[in-house]
Amino acid sequence: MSFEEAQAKEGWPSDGELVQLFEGLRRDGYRLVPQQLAASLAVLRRARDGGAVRRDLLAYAITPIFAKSPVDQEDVYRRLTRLGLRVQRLAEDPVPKRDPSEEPRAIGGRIWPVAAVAVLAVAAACLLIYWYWLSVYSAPPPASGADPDARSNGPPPVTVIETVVDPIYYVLQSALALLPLAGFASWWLLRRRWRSLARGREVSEAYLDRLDLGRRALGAAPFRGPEMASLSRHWRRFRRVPTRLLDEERTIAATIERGGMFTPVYRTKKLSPQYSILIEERSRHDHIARLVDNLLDRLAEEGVSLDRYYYREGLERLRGEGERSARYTEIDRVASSDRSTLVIVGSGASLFEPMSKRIKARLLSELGRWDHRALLSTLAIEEWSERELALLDGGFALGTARERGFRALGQHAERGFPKHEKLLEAALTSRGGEAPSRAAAVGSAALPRLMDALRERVEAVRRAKAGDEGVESELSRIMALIDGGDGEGAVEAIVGGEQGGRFRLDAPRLMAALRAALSLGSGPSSEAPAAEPETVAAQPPEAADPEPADRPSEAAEWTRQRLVSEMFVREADEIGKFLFDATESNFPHIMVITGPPGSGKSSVLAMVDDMSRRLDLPTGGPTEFVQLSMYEATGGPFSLYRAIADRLGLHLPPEAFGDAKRFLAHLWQERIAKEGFVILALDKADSEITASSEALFDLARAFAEWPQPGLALVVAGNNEPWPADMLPGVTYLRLSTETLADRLRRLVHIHGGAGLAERVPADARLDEIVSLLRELDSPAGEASKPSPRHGP
Amino acid sequence: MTGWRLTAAKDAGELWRSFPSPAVGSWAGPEKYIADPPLLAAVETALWLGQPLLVTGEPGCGKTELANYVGWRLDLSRLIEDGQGEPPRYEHALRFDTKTETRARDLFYTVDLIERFHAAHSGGPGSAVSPLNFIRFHALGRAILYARPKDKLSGRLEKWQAHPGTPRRSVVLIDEIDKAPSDVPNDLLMEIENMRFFISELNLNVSAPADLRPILIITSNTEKPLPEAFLRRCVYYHIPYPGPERLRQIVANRIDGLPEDSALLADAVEIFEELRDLQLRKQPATAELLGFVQALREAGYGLHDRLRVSPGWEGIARATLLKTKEDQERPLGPLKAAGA
Repeated sequence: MSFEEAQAKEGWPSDGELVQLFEGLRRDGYRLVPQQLAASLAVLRRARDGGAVRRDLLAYAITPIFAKSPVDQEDVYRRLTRLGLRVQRLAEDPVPKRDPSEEPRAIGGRIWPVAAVAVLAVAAACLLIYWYWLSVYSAPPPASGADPDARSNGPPPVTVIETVVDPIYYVLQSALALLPLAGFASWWLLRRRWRSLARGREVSEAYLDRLDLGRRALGAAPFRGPEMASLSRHWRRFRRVPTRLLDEERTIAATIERGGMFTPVYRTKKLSPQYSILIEERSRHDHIARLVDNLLDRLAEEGVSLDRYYYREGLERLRGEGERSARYTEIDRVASSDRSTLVIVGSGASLFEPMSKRIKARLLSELGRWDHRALLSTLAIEEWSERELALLDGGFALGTARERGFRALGQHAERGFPKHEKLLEAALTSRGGEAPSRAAAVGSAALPRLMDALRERVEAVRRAKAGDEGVESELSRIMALIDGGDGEGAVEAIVGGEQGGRFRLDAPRLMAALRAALSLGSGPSSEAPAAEPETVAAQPPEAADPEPADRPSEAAEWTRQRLVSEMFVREADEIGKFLFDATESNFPHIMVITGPPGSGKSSVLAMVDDMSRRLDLPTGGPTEFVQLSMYEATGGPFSLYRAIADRLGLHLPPEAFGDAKRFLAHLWQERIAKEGFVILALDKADSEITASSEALFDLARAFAEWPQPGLALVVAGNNEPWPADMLPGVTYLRLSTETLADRLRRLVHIHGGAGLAERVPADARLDEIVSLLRELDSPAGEASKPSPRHGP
Repeated sequence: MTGWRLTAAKDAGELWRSFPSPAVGSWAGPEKYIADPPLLAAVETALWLGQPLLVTGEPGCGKTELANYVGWRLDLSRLIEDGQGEPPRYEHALRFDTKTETRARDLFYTVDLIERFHAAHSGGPGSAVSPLNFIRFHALGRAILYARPKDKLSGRLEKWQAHPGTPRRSVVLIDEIDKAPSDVPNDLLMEIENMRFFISELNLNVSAPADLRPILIITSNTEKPLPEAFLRRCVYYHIPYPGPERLRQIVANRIDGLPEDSALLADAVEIFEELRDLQLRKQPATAELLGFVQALREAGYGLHDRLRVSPGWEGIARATLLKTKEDQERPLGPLKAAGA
């Protein structure tokens, strides 16, 4: 029987089988679109119903629709063979042949010898156990006095054999007898299962893939629907990039337009965007990484060209898609094209030095090869901090690793990565009229954590009041309210209980923060600063206003304070180092803060004060921060030292004020030797009054010549009070309004308020910035009020 | 007729007059092309779907000739007479040879801007500098114009390209598209899908009616990957390298007077196959086998000569089948010994 005749006798494949084939191909990485399925079905129907294609040629008519390379062609032929569409080999195969029809037999074939060996092994084990365990005891030999000839003369004696068998033996013997049967049954079931799997492989090579099975179990795959289709359109849209080729036509037009002056115009070309995506995964089971995978799968299905890599510890070593963990790729090999876009999906922590909190220099240079790079952060926006600022500085576009973030990145890419829009999502950069205020957003985001803290606190008080049934039942009711999500009810009950004196929660900050988050307004417990303990503001908030609607909410106040402190992140870092050094080493401890008016010198001084109290400094005693204006030194050094001593409450002898070194020695003896830490902060250090300058210089020189741990000098002024190289080891913090405005812009971008950020002029003073921040964090309506200097 | 040979001639005087006509020309012709059923099935699929057929395969396996064959089989050939003394010839497929500097628009038309610039400077009448006068249509543009009724645009076609009068389909060959910059296939996506192009100089869209869409055959040597989006819009077929039997059929069909079952052909194909098994730097292809056999015939080998035991074939084999220095330096002795 010829090939054609054999094929003609077989039935036609059904539409469903072709759909199965299509799905199998897609699962196995073929980038197919529904149009290709429609085309193949059209060919099949023409062949089956219209007789347009011979049965034996159908595989050749369908394969060209799916396959786009010689290897694909052979693969599709092979799969079609499994559907009963035999392929007559006309020539050598470009890929090694494998006859899939033999697979079930091969699986079965491997089983037979294994099964035979298993049965033999079991039989041998049975025999061995039988031999060892069977205990047969013969009757004792005849007595020594018996006639030895009796055996020959008389009838043979009756031999009594007593068999003593252990009952375990019976159990074991039965089990062993059943073992071959059980083995055969297992093998038979297994073989059935393998055969069904092998049949499943007819449509998909990845049928056995556990992940695939998992996805099937999930039912509908995530990230489906028209939104994803539109998202992927953004991702794959062509971009126009300039080339070095002259556009003759436009050049001529431009030249004519410029009156004959040669004006070259270069051609642009469309570029199909490519993405190199680095995904942070904590383990193979990291659900966020897998979700990102799902989304990227979907994008890839939609025709987006992307390469995927995974990293765990750091970006230095990456694992390619589909590779085992043993094989790693260096990051510099990732760039498939210098025009590709780098997208990192993760927290971004791996990009930073753990100690200095700066972006790793090597990484920064390696990532620099990508003109366009973005980080889609898996952190909640509320957790963004100076790290994200540093990433913005490092040229990253920032977004969240949500579907919205992916969409925003696509739109950003579509617009050619505009440099002034480094924050991707609109919600981060603008605040619409209906959008919740930043304060409310922060509050609502913090609410679950606050409720948890409240639950713990109530539980602790309930344990403490275990004997008091009335209070205990009241607290139980409050717990029920918390568990039921009724925060307002719980707060009211707690306030009622505290006012009645039945119990005290001793958590005023927590209650205030909760009230703010629940938008309950000021309550009896809101006198305390409205923040969680770990994020306490530098300065205490203003006293409760009788008209809460006219002032920022508590959470807003907290946010504002945080914003201000976040603006001086770099300075805070330096201050922290300075303070620790000052408590421990014998190196001169002098810090000079310079900058024009309004650049935040006083705020930084306040930060020094705040940090000296908040940091766990190894002083062993109280820390005292003495801030003076250098105007107090107009009377010369004596008046300055006197003022310092007065602030510290020291009664020093008159000779202590004779010169700076002697004054320091007395100071040290009185305070620091008794395990204290004194920070002398001198503001307005650039006073042009000669006497005060002399006093300052004397004091600074004494600090330099007689450095003692526990004694620090901080000087702030518009200009540097002395040449930078005059005193060794001075820590300089140079502030400028430009830096301030620049930082503020980024900061308010992150915290929402692009519109306000645009209004920050380059020379904005800190007080103006603070008023802008107040606007930013004020409830809706107040935001429209103009700032003191710059109109809306 | 060996008088023309350099090795035999003593007097070079009129040597060139006795040159034979090149054999290469006699091998060509769509009627001599043997298309495998799978290839024809792929062509039919492309015709049904109205999509381009992308053909890949080793160089010399007949990718380019396929377009001529399809044009010939579908009776879409055009007789070309340019009226300048050239003998008339058939154009089975409109061919576009891709170059490294090709742009997508070049497939449809080009405008001689420099000439237009000069015309504008020489101060001719306004109509003289109309872009229409400087447009030249190329393969795909011509095919779309042929599919439309004759109009002002088709009037710009050169004489040998003249519109057939009534709209008709054409076969277009875009040869070796992988030579073009990677943007070209991407830029062609919509144009190929809709068989339409835009002449920006005239602000004019030109499209082919759906029933007369040009049949597009694109070849690639797979030197560069093609964009996914482009591949998705094509029907694809990889021409596998033919086996010995099919090779004998192909050669016998191409070279006149060479029966398929001749000993010479069988030996030549055997040697050819063995050479391919040597994993040479440049694998010889069908076209080179044709050259080898033709050269053997010209060298005087008879149809029933056993090549293995005959002297002198190695030189011809080296010259026609081995195309790199390293390949040529490989000894062919083992082949001969195996045959002997």
